[in-house]
Amino acid sequence: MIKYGFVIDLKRCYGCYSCTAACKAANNSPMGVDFAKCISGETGTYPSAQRQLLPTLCMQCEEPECKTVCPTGATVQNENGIVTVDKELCMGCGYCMMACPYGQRHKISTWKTYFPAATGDLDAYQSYSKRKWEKSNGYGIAAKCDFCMERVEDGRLPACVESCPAKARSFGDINDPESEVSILIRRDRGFQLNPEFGTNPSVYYLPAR
Amino acid sequence: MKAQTKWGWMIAMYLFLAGLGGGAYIAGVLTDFMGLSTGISKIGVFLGFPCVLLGCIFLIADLGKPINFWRAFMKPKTSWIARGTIIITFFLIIDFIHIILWIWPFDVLTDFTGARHLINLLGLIFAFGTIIYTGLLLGASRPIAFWSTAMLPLLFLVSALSTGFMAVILGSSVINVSKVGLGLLERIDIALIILELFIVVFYLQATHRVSESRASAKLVLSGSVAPMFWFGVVILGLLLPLLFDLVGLYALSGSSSHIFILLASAFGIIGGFFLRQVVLKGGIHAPLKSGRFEYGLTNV
Repeated sequence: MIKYGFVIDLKRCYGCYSCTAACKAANNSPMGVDFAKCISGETGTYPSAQRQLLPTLCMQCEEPECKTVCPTGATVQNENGIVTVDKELCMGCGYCMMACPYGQRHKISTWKTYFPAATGDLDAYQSYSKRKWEKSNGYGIAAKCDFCMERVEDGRLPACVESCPAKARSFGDINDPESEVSILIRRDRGFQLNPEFGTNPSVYYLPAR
Repeated sequence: MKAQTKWGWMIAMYLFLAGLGGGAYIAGVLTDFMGLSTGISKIGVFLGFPCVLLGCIFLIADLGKPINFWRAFMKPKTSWIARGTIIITFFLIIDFIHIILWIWPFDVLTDFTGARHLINLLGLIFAFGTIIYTGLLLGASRPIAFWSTAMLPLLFLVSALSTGFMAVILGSSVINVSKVGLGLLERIDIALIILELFIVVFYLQATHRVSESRASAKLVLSGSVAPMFWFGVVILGLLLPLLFDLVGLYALSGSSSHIFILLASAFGIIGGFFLRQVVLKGGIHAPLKSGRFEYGLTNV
């Protein structure tokens, strides 16, 4: 059985936010919704201070906390490990947003534009985006990243993987020991974020140094 | 690390009203069991239904898709919201029957003590369920260590009982009923306030284990939530009611005593709302950890 997973190599990531932009283009997500957010972190003090960017996305946990707490059954786990939300069933209580250790559930009540000073109707690109978002997710529900399932089913890579200029992101079947992702995890000390929550994420990171 | 913003005052209102309604019902049932004033007992039983129902209306209004609210029942196997919805529904039904058969429009339960006590007992169980589940509901959110603690259900339980008792004391002072047993309720309430003071201390003390709950405690004790905590919860909600109750009960008598106890109850009830607000506003998500780096979540 295929179980889709990610490997993000922190050594290779140089923080260009291509994944964030490509994700927004692929999913038409409005302002305030970032399925592929990059969070900037600092540690230490001058002169030994360090910076490191952490690209995030839904971890598609094997034991998803968001699915556990979901009272309506809108959050489901597919056979390939991808956790999806049925927008017809979701009531928007926000419990998954409280329970997800990775902050990967997103709820908005209205469309927010990136150009708040612009007056009049939305331009053609934005109204296209808005239409697409309303069709795929809409408002009042806790939307999430689905590893670009539509693209993957078409035989393409998720948008964030395809766009990464540093080749920091790999996508594949983590159940297959010979896949690129499995080899990377094994060979380059792949680790998961916050294992203390016992969620067993399908997204692995390779250490920055 | 920033506190969560998605659950705001409407959820606090719901947690508060569910607690107050359940607490008032318990006060009513206990006075009935002890054979004290029927009037006081009826006030407690009557307060439960509208308070909890109003709380549920706040909860539904806060949903992203209120039309789908009925789906909240669907997954009691794993979700505390689903379990709580079922518990609260049972409580509302039982209290509704209790009110109809005992207070208005019928009064058949007065003569059937056995049947009344059976309903009392059933209602008591679900009233406790309603109160305690509000703490477990927040506790199921494991990344927020400030909520995910064994102290929270206890804190909410004592606060709910205390505000419920105060609501009954307030009600029976305003409405003209037999005052037999009111003094006892007031004394129990003093004990509850003292107990709640201790639990607040223990609750904050229990935050020392992980960085996110230490940040929560800092936010509540000296950060942006501190004014609400110190003035709204500690002074208005606990110390003033304690002082006024003690003065009203032991130092004064007659109408001046009456006024002190009324004020104590009103302050304590408002403090109960602030307590829920402080707990919600203090909820900070665990940071993402990678090597020596910690990344605070920004979209929660």
